[in-house]
Amino acid sequence: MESKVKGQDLNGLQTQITDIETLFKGNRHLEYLVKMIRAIAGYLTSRPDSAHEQTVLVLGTLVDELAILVESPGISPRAADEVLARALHSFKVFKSSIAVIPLVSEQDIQELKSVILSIDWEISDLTLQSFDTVVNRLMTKVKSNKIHSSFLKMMLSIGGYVARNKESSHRDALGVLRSVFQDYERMVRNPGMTIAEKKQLIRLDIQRFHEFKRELGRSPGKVAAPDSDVEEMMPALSHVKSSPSTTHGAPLRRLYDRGASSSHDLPDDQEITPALVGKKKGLTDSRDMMDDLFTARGSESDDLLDAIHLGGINGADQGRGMGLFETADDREERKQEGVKYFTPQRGEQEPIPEIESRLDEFFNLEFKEGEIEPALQALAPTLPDDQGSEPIVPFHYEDEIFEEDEVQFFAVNEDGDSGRSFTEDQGKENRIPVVMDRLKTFLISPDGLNHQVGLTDFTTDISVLEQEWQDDSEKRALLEMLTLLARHVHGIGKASSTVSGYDDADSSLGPRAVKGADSSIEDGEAGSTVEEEGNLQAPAAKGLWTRIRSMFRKP
Amino acid sequence: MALINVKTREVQIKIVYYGPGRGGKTTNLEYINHTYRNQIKTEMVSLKTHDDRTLFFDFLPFDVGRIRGFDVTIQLYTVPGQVKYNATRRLVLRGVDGIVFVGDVQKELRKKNIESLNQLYENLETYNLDLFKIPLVMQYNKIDLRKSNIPILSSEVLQRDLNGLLRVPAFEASAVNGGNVIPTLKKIISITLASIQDQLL
Repeated sequence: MESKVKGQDLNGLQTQITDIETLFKGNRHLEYLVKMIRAIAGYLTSRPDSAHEQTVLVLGTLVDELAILVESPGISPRAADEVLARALHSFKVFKSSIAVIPLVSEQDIQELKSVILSIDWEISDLTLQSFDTVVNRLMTKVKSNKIHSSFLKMMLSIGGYVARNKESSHRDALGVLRSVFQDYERMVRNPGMTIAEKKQLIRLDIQRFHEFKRELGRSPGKVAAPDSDVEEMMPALSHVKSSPSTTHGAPLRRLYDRGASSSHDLPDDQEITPALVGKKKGLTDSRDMMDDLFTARGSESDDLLDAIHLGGINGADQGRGMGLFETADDREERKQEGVKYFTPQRGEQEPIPEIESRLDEFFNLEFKEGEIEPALQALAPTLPDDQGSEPIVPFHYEDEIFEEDEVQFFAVNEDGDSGRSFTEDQGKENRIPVVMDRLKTFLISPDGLNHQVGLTDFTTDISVLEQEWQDDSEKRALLEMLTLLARHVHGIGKASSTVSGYDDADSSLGPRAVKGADSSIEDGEAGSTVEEEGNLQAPAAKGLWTRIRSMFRKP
Repeated sequence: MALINVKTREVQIKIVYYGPGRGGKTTNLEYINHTYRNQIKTEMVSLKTHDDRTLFFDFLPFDVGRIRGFDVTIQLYTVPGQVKYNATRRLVLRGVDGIVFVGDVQKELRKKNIESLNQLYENLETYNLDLFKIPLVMQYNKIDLRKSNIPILSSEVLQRDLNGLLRVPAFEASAVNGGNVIPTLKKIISITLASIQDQLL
């Protein structure tokens, strides 16, 4: 018999079993044994190439037990029961071992995932063909299992729809396909899942599948619904921040005249649900399944990608040179070399004219700020109100956004490695660098002190520092000296006359110092030139500022 | 983060073009590179798949000249838009100073725009950066499809979907024709530099 199985003569095996069955009819022990042999033979016939490796062995064992009963006509019922029990045990062990063999292997699942992601990446004939091939191959493999088959049939059906409609497919098509696959994958990778659980799983998917089909039936065309049908959708970031207003203060620069737009561009009358969800929730619902594979933060995969990027694109040293992929040690080293790291934050600060003019020059922008590019001017926009209440603000270069309730400053630590915005009530200490910067500006260019407003600002800043450092007598003494110096400069400016003996001190803080700063910039030197120049012209001023700075600098 | 070298008087700014797949991020950079090839001395680095999709990212560095005596270098990056390459997107965002979010005006991509922006928020969080504070400009690209009778979203809808909370400058654009590509770029550079101008002393 074994030789026949090895010889793939499974039909002959089945015939022999039928003959034996007829022969032993009426003998309970023999009938049971033949039934077990028939079951295993049936299993072997159904998958001759992929049957469990123990199949033939177990079949041989059962045949041996059958032979014992047949060749011992005088065997006692008790002994016959024992033979049958042994056979039954072998049969059950084998049956359970068959049950744990996954119908679909890990490789199959990976292959299926790969082709589905390929379609998600791009709907092309090639990806669709691959998908079709893989799913059909799996269908053949699992045709005896209804649940597996049903999952695959759904996938095949959606894939067929996508293949017919290509990029015009309903936008949810791939989402449904991924959903079905995910459940199928979960089922395959969870061998302990009960039949009831599997049925429940597929029932939900079938329900979703039918809903999708109904949705397709409702859609008038292949493409997404027209603008008037724009569904309510949560705006981006509504899960992290809420706002009573949706468009106010968001400047938009249009490219074409709205008059040229088609009827497709009708404003959406439906209110999108205000972004007042108020709680931060995960985005897993809207994420692609592959996303989860890459969500480990700072994982080895990230490191690997770092290496790929550094080595493959920027070159191992270029990445370091650009300062984009530095280690903490690298950064510390660079700080000592004079490099400051600063995290830009948008605020109400207008760009200085030099920035605008430099960029205009670089980009050869001859038109004035706030105007549309000359080539597009013929199509200059006329901006309608947005539903009458919240107009889209026309774009102007002067427009800047800011948080209305926040007064933002920029703070840079003395070591220059960080900058952040903060509100006034976030602690006076954070204001110190800002105040210091202002004072420095006054001292470099003291013309502002000639006016009362400038002097008031200066003394206010000094007061802030005095209050902050009220326990530090040395700092306060220096601040007092600064105040006296400022009043002195103010007095000179007010007098509008040249007083002998004061010229040098005055000019050292004014034009000459500024000139020094300019020349240092031109020479590519650091700002220390300002101090050196000041030192030559007015030792007192330089020493004062240097001492103050050194006191506030972190050790 | 911006690198300011006070000794060599150099500033480096990293701008990242972010958005859903096939939204036109690479096209933006290609237009910039093509239009200003005389000013941009460096080569644009671009790794693409066989069908022209961004594999890792595009990289275009260029110097805009001196501002306050500092030589300013701008580095433009794009990210791969496909959902499954989030790790790469996150990596590219490391050290970002300013972002151009390139949304696709096609109606069928409305959800993807929102998802992409939401994901940008999360990705920035991993670097302790706040999308509500970082210099940002919106670009609604492919506005030219309007003429092709392809259903597109109105800018009002896009503003509500993407910019209702952020309230940053927004541009309709046609990157393939260069429409508003440069104003977008100029704006993001401008507001990014404005945020560090006080450091340039």
